[in-house]
Amino acid sequence: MAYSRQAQWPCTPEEMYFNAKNEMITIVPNFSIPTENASATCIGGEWGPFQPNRETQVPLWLAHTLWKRKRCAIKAPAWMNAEHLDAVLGLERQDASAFQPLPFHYIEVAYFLFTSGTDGNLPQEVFGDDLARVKDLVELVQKARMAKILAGLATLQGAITVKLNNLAALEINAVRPFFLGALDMFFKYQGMEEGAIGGSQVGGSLAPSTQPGGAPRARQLRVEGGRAR
Amino acid sequence: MEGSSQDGFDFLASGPASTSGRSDAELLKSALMNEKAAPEILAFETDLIARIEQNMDYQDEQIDLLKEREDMKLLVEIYMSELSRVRYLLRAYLRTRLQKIERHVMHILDNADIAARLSDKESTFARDYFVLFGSHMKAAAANHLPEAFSSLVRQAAAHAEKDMVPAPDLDRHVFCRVLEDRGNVTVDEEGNVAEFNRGDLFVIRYRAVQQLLAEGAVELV
Repeated sequence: MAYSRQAQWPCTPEEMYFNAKNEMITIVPNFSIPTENASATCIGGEWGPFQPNRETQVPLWLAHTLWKRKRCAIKAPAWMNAEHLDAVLGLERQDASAFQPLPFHYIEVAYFLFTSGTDGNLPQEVFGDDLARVKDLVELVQKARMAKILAGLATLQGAITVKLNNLAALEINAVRPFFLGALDMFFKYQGMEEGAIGGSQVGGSLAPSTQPGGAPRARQLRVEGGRAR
Repeated sequence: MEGSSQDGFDFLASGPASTSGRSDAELLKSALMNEKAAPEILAFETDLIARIEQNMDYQDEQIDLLKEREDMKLLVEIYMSELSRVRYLLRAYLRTRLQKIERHVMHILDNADIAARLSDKESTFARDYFVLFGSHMKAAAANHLPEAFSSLVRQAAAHAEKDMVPAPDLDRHVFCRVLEDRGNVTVDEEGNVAEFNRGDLFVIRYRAVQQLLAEGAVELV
């Protein structure tokens, strides 16, 4: 079991953070590069054009590289606008059965913008006077969502297909071992109950002693953890 | 990769943000996540890896060409940071596969269609690993057991089935994101269905999406 637990947690938070740095963000460069169309052709795509004072979209890691060299200013992403976050928070609290659409890596992006380059004051530069408020709001949104996820987990009744639209990367990662482990066990017990055919279920014959008292009864197909967009 | 597709087809050039025409780097990331989340070994992304390796060599050449030029310094730095990111992804992908191969080496070598999912180098590795693993197990334990019980793949020689080969559990649940509209998809043996629309996120048994994953209609997250 030990190894399968481990296998159910395929990503460390660091790896998630690495992936998150591919999210796009708007920057205002203060330089240009002397290529044909002032853009950089990389393996992951063509970024630019880089021209002084002209906004362009680049991945987060590139924005960070440039910012560290004082070659660009980073603009706050649209979803991190205080009014927008306020509205998201309201909806998040109002609608208990759905998650609001946010970027898949919103937690990591926020973490990055709030904590990187404190010596050079990146967060202050990006958010200005709104910094404290935006920080608060992101945290509240995150908490509201996490509370919903945990409440949803508490209602799990059996091995079913669960739809969870708009769940973010780190939120998935946070509940992955527990969630998947629980569903796997439900599925296993269910198989024992039906007198599992074939010996693929290890320990299938031991079922009576390990069966839980309140075995899963009705098998709903899906709990709507989120709604279709 | 430079110039060839730029002229009339600017809108087709892989916009990094779009999900449909995804760049190779994103496909590699997706392949890595699939490989990490799936219980069994997936087909080796031969074409993708070949393209990535080619692109990496090309970027390396570009860096060599440009690094002497003062005005290209920043561009070279951008290239180098990206290259190291892609290199990391590639290594992580290959390593994840090696781990899986080690874990299920007998199962993989035993089934021709699963063995076909490995690249040439991986096949060599799997065979060599199995020889090492097998001879070690024989020397350390199996040879000291009565002959009827000394097989590495059968609990007893009388068993017809190879019942001691660890196999991946395809009934494990995974998180998956739908990449293509597929309408109603059967998700279990009783014929229950769920609607798969692009962008949906499901927690589902791996077996139910195994085929869709191979077709590229879903990705694991």
